[in-house]
Amino acid sequence: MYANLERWPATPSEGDNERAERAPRIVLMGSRRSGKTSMARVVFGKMSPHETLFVPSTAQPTLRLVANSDLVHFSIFDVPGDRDLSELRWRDAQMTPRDLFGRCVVLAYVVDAEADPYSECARLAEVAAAAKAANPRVQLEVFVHKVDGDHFLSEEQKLDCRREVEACARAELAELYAHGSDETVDPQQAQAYADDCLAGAAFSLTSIYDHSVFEAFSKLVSRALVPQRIVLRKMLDALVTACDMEKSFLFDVASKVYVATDSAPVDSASYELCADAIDVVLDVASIYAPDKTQQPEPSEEDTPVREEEPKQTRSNAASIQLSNGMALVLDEVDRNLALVCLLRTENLEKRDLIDYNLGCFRTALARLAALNASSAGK
Amino acid sequence: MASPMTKKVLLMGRSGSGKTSMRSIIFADYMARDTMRLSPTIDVEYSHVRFLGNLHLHLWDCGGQDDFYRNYLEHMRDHIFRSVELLIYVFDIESEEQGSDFSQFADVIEAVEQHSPDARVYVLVHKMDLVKEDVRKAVFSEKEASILSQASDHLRIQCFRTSIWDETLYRAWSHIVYSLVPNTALLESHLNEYCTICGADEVVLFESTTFLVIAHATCIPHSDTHRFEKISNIIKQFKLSCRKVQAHFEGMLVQHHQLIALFENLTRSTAIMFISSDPDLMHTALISSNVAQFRAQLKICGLIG
Ligand SMILES: Nc1nc2c(ncn2[C@@H]2O[C@H](COP(=O)(O)OP(=O)(O)OP(=O)(O)O)[C@@H](O)[C@H]2O)c(=O)[nH]1
Ligand SMILES: Nc1nc2c(ncn2[C@@H]2O[C@H](COP(=O)(O)OP(=O)(O)O)[C@@H](O)[C@H]2O)c(=O)[nH]1
Ligand SMILES: [Mg+2]
Repeated sequence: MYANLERWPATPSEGDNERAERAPRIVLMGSRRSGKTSMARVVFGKMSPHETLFVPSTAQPTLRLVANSDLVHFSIFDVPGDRDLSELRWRDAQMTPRDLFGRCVVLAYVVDAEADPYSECARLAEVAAAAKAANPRVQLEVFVHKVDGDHFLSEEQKLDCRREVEACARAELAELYAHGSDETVDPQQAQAYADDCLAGAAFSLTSIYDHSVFEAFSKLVSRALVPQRIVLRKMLDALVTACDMEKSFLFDVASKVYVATDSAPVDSASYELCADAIDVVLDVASIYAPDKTQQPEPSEEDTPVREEEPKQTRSNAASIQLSNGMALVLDEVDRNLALVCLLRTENLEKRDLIDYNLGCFRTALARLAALNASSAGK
Repeated sequence: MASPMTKKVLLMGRSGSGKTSMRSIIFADYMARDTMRLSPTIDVEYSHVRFLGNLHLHLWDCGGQDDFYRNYLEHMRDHIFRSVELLIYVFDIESEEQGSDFSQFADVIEAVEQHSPDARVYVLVHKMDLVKEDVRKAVFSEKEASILSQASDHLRIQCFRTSIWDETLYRAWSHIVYSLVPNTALLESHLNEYCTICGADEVVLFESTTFLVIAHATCIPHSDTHRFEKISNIIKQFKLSCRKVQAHFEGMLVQHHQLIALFENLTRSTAIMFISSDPDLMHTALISSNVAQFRAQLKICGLIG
């Protein structure tokens, strides 16, 4: 086992190193103490925000494997903030930008909202340009992080901060381009380069003290890291149409990150409510049916025996009613995946229709997983 | 309708000990972390809380600075300490001035004993989250012993350890309000009967806004003795989540393997939780109609509004 490998959930198994190396990768970068390690641990390692005060500064690049289900399977490469790109080492070897960004799907860059935006963005520009040069397919996500302090009491202040970071990143990228060439560069060309680097990049406001960091990771994961994300979206669209729902999320239960959602726009408040609904249902269930909620992972030997278990007629499910005419339906569609849907209360009355469609969804998902497994086996 | 029964509750303890924080979380739907923004209480803040149909609580949150206390104990002594039903005294476990904490406590106890000899006293040893988990029990026992040794023999004193960050807050406050609810014995006998008739494992009655437990009936014993305060905490958190989308929590049904858990509003001021692990009872329509019947029964007895 390598010293700098972490795994979530924390049941290490043979071949984790290799799996972590092979998995699609998020490269997490940003200046020292910007909050990278805290973010990753809070979202995927279940650390409470207060505990992060004791997280030591990361000394070596660290690879974390997140392996919660077939759909949530990737690694996070956490790069210490102060290191120059040219002096990065991984496993006693020099790391070139190609090593760093080669397997990288998403470059998540953390900007400390409490620090000076100019120096933060200068470094962001440098890293983004290097990533682009090494692997043009890398998707950039910028987290404008720690927007919970005293400087950010209003929504307006947060949005201002995000605008400033984005403008500043653009300017720094253009500048970098201009300086990189000996001849005088047409400012329009420099601008075009900056636009190109930031094309499709999302700038999210985040804090570990609320849902924002979970929502930001949800966007990242559902947009870039889930295999078959397009099919999943179509399946959810079909479900929403069939049952007359307002919104649906397929959640990774362990992290409260959604791995897929239907095509309707995501509103933060609905996301928060759906994520909290998972908590309330699981917490109640864990008190009154504790042995059932903490099922041990089936070991190799008893896998075949599982078929003799009584067939369950229905999956673990829940529904919640609110006073504003809305209701939530939760359904455990697979180990560690839960579907949470928001719908009008009157549509909840067609419970049989909903159950039938949820059943179809589960079947389709299982088929998708089987397909995935057989193609991975080849 | 009978005229409301109003009970005077004193909330005392030194400045910064956490009185206003607790009151705001329990009765005013604050989130634990919002309490960082509270400023010190000046003099006495009165609040009137309607708790269950007929029971009204008059909370006197007494600002804890030394000057105020001199005033309470001297000039306002009669006004403050007269006809007190219940005193809640809060100690900050991390306080640096234990000596003066105790002398103030002794003065308050003396005043209560003099003016309201029948009052009950609850002492909350607060901010226990700041104590390392492995020594919490020992630290609390020690503190409890020194508190009880200070107290006179006449007053009934009970100690709880609390923190706004976990369910201990709900354990203590459930206990406190339970002691104020009239007719609990009758209520519980109805609840027991209902629990047996409809074959539930457990039926619990909550006050709807605070989600504190006011009565319960248990037919199938459960090993977790702290489950009620955990449920209060869990549901209260979720109620706050619902508020963010401008909605109230109205009910929930959880079907988990062999478990069915139903939460439903029972009356204007109460909610009921119904737990069953009997597979024959898994029909939700049946349970709902049972709840409706029970609601009618309670109305007839005039037990809760
Ligand atoms: N760590 C921790 N802090 C707490 C807890 N309860 C309250 N606090 C904090 O303690 C500080 C003081 O709380 P208040 O509720 O204003 O104290 P108070 O007793 O009303 O003070 P006065 O109004 O001056 O009497 C706040 O910053 C709270 O966030 C707790 O359980 N744990
Ligand atoms: N206020 C606030 N502080 C944060 C947030 N995220 C992380 N921090 C704090 O920032 C400090 C540095 O975090 P850390 O993850 O070690 O930064 P790293 O050097 O990039 O790995 C820690 O004390 C964290 O508690 C946040 O969202 N808000
Ligand atoms: Mg770090």
